Amino acid sequence: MSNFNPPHAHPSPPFPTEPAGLEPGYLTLRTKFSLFVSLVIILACSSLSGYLIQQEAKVMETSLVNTGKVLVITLQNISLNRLINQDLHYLERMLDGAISLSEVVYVIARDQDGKVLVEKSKGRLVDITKLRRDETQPLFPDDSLTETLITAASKISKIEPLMTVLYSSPLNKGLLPKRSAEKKSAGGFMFGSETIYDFALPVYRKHELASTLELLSSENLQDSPKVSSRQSSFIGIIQIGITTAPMQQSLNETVWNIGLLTLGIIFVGILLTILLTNRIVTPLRRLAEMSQKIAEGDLSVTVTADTQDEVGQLTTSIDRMARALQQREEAISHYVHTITKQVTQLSTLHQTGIVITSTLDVQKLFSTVLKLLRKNLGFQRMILVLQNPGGTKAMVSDVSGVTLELEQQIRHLEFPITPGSIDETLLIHGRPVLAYDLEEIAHQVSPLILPICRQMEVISFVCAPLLSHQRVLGYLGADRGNQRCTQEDLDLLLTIASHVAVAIDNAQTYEEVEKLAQTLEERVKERTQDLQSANERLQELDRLKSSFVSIVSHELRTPMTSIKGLVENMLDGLVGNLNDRQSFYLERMKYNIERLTRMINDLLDLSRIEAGRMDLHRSAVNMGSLAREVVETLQSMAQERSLILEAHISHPIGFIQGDRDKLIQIFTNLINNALKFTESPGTVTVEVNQRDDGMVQTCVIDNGCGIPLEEQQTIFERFYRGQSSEMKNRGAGLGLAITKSLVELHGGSIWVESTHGEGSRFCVILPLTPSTTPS
Amino acid sequence: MNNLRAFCHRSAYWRKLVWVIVCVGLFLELSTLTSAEEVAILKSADIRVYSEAITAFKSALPPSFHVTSEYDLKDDMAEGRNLARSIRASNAKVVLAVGLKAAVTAKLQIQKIPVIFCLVIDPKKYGLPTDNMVGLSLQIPFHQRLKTLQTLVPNVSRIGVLFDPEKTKGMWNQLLQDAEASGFRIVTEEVSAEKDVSKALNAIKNRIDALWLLPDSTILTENTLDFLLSTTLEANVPLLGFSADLVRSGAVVGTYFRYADIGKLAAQLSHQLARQTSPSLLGTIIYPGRVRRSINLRSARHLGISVTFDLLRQFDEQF
Repeated sequence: MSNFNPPHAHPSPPFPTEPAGLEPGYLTLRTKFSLFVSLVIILACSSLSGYLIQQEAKVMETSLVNTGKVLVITLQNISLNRLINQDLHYLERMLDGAISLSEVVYVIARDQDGKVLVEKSKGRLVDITKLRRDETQPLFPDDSLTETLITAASKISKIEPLMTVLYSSPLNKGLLPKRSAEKKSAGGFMFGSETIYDFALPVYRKHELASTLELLSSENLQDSPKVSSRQSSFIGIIQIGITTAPMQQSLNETVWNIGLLTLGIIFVGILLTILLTNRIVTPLRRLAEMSQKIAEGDLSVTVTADTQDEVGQLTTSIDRMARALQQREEAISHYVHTITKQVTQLSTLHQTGIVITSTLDVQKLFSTVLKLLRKNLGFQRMILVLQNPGGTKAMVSDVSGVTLELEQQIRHLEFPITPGSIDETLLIHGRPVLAYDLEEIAHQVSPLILPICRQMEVISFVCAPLLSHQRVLGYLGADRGNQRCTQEDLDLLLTIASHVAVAIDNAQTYEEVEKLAQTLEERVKERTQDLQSANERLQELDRLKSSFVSIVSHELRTPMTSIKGLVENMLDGLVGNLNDRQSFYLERMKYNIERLTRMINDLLDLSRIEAGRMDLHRSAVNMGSLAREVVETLQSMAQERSLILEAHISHPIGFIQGDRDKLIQIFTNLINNALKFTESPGTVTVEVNQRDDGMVQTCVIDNGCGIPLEEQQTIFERFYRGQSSEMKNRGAGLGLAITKSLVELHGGSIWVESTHGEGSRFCVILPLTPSTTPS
Repeated sequence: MNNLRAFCHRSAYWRKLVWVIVCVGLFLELSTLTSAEEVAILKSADIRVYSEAITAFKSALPPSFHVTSEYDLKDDMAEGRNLARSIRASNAKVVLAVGLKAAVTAKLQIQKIPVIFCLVIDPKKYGLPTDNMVGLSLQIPFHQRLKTLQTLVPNVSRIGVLFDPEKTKGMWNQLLQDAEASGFRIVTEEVSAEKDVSKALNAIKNRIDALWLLPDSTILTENTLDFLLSTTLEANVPLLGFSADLVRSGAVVGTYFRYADIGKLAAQLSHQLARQTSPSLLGTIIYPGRVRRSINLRSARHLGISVTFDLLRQFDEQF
């Protein structure tokens, strides 16, 4: 048992009512338990009663049957000789004795033919409750039974009587076997009917010398005479009727008594069950109510166990659990408070970090950080003091949580750092200060600051130095108004101060860097202007040079053409026959005029290219065909120099979009160079193939003198002429520069691979037309 | 301490000795069992007389013999062939045939195994025994029975006999010879059917001093027995029976062999036949050693026969 003691508990009713949390329509534990146990009791008692009644009925029936058997066997034994002699007087007396027994309804002695020798009957049952019989209505078995008995007599064992259940009914005069009686009553219940057990026992002669007779009987090789001998010894039947009425009456009384007893037991059992259920359920309900209150958050409820049984243990456990829950909730509340505070700190730190990283404006940083810290950390007022560069003075950089008037008064207030003051502790020694009472350390506060503090009614404050890179930048001060500051406040402020110090340091550094950058930018701007004017001058000079080259080239080419024509006329003999010397000189003149013309053409090409006036007349060109064409053109030149010139064209080769003339110029130039720098017997090979990257690569390969490695870098520059080339092969040094420019104008590239003394390989790659199909 | 040690030592010695004796005993028992002679029993039917004799036979068998199978003809001679086949197939050294049907079956079906038959009333009538058989007689020599009668009732001279010529003529002839030799006169009435018994008895009851019962199944039946008993008592004629049952029912005196004695003798014969120690027994009928006598004192009193103490000592049973 348990006592439930909620803080404001109402007096509990004497019997527990239905629990409040139980939904309507559901059975309570008490009801279920009571119903179940009651049902069990009812079933058990009913079954037991039924079983007892059944057993009693069986016992009674067995007793009745045994009585009948004993009686009939006794009568059989007594009547043996009298039946043989048919001593009717004796038999009558014997049957009178038998009929006097209460259960015996009738007794009959028959001879071997079934004829009644003597019969006695008490008569039909007229009052079943008093077992009164009417002797004027004798009751005997129906005659049909006698025939059956005579027939079966030979089969009946001598010690086991034949029992037949008979029924008497008001409709029939005699007793009928069960089946016949049911037929006559159409299977229904026969009111006033009586059940009688008929015991019939055939009477045989008794022989003591069975063994001798058996031996004599067996002395026959034919068959056994046993049956015939038995049949012949049958001398009559003793029949006795035992009524079940007394047994039925006794059984009815037994049923009635057992029924009453059963009902009593069931009633008491149910009553005890309800009491027991109440005793079990009441503390459970109290526990349930307590659990509900605990579930609703009321952990202050207590309950005490009244007993030491399982319920008592459960009550104690739940009470202990409630206490544990209460303690745990308090602990959780404490932890939640701590965690909330730490989260706030972390949040503050995070927000401070965001502010720090979002701005490099020192003043904005100060005001934002102070406001943020005040808001999140719950300080009423905050102040930021920075140390001047000299280290002798400090200045209030910003305040928060004060009136605007006071803010203007304090901001930028400069005060000296005096020895022994808290300013020295903070700014010089870099140690924090926790002042529980301002007045106690008033002498350590700067005289400039102290009146202001008193004006603001500061009673307690904390200050944390701003340390960055082992340098004290200033300090942060804060107070909580009426409340005194704690060590926790100081720890918190110290944590924040380290971040603020870094931020201030960074902001100040950024400010300095910004100033420096501004100075540098101005200098760069000046230098750029100088360079721009120089460049303009150079561009003008270059334009003038190009113009000069163009004009000079044009102006030179005209007279050169004229001179060449005149020389050719002279060589053709238009001015008369020429001697060998004259011819030689004119040939030399023609050669040099042509060389000069080529140089001028190169100059003109170069000037056009540089001036951007080189126009390309693009068309679809097959590089294989073009290379073959160029090779054929220069074949005579190769033969003159006893060189082999050959083209290796791989198939298929696609088309490129290019200026055919310019492309011929490119490859003529490259093959010319190869032929020029290759000694006989040598070979110049032109290879054309299509690469996988959509380019056509054309390489001019020779096994001539080759190009030194140091010259390979500058060979494509203008006016560059190789150091190793012979004078006769030297041109203006523009060929490869023009070639490279033309290749690049076609969107390609050119390079050289050469080994000095072994030969060179000039390769040009040009882009294929995207949709060209190889020919 | 020394005594205790000596006791322990002696105990261990005796324990070992007991073990040795037990082992040897077991070995001997096993060897006996393995070398036991087999005996088969063939009986005509399962009746009390046969069972009594068979029980005595089994109990009197030597340890080296054991009954392997007990075959029951169930009064059916046709079954005899199958059962005899089984007996022949077995290792039976001796066969005990109990009853007439069993003896005849053995005669017909078993020729190579020695057979002892018993409880056959008139074996010679059925050609028993054969060469491989030994019979145990159920009949006591008539002169012995006559002597008993003479002892009990000295003034008897006329003895009445009812018999069915088809069944007991041989016995009647023997009785006639023995009785005449002993100075008795036999008054005979032939009966051919059970229903004629009363007539026959009524015909002679006043001419005889005693009625001699032969084991004749026509004369003695369940139906006639009461009549024979009551009539002889009423006529003051002593009835001479041939079994204890008859004396118990009312016959004055009876001489007979006990069925258990027959069974025991059969067991002894089995041993002799199996060991072949008495081959001369084959083909003979042996009388069981002791004749039993019983007296019904009530009947004797009714008939006015004085039974002295010395006389009473000559009877084995009294009713």
